[in-house]
Amino acid sequence: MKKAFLLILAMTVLPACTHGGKPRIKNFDSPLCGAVNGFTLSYFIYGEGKMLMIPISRVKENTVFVVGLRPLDGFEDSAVTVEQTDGKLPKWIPGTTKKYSELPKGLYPQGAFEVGCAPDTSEVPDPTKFKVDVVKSTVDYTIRNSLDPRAEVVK
Amino acid sequence: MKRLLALVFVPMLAAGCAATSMNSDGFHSKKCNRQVDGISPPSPTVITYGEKKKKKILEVKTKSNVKANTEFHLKLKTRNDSQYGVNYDSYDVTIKGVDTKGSTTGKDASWIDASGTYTGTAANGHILVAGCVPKDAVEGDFYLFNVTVTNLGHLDPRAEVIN
Repeated sequence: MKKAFLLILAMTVLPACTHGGKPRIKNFDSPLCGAVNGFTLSYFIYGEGKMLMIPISRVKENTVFVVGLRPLDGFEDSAVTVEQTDGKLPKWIPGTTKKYSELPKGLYPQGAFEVGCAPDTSEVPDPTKFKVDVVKSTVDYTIRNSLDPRAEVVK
Repeated sequence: MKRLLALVFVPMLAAGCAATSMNSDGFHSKKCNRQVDGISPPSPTVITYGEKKKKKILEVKTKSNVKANTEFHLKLKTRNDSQYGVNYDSYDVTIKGVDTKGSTTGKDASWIDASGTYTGTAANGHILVAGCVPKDAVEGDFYLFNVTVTNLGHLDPRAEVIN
């Protein structure tokens, strides 16, 4: 009975939860964007001398763009800022700073936070450049690492 | 015949050894315009960048061990598994020392200064001579530097002196 329940649950939940920048379908109230019909989650992996992220996150229009933090090697307390750098397009990724250690599991998986509200595709016809900055302070110096991925708003 | 072979090969081997020891004794660095003791680290620190398994990647070993008065070498290695057909070989890479004023042990890293693009093959990478470690560097000194790959990102690794 338990196995059957888990199987049904997996079949219901999994198709709606895709990773790696693909749009997710869900209706809910987003703290950043209000009533939306989904969110797109892209993971950012970072640690000592290492950063990884999908090059272009495809965010469905009128949904929330969410970045999931995956720190390595004691970077849990590092501040991560996600902000649009593309000045040609309307600024829909305003700039948000969070630490993995301060992001418990809630509306999104642990370490994930909202970074932007995707407008209509007509407003942002081109992929939007943004940066992901990591700042880690040690006793002697401050490490500043960053990656320059893009987000494309799709229908 | 054996003696003849020995006569031919022994001087050649000796010459080879002499060349090797001369190399480890030092050479004139064009980059720094001075005599240096050699190259460090023994295996150049690799800067890997591009796309790997559908993710943008930028990776550099956090700490490179260098020796005083040696050329500091870094190796560029691109990953071109882009699903969008991006070729990262043409991406500019800049290595620049960081001003560590106010730091307790970090040293002036202005001697670290180089730029270039990947021109080697995937197997051997492309060597960038970042600069020459100061002659007066002592064990434990460290130098912070930025590795910037234009339009991809940047990392802040460091070089630490081990003499």
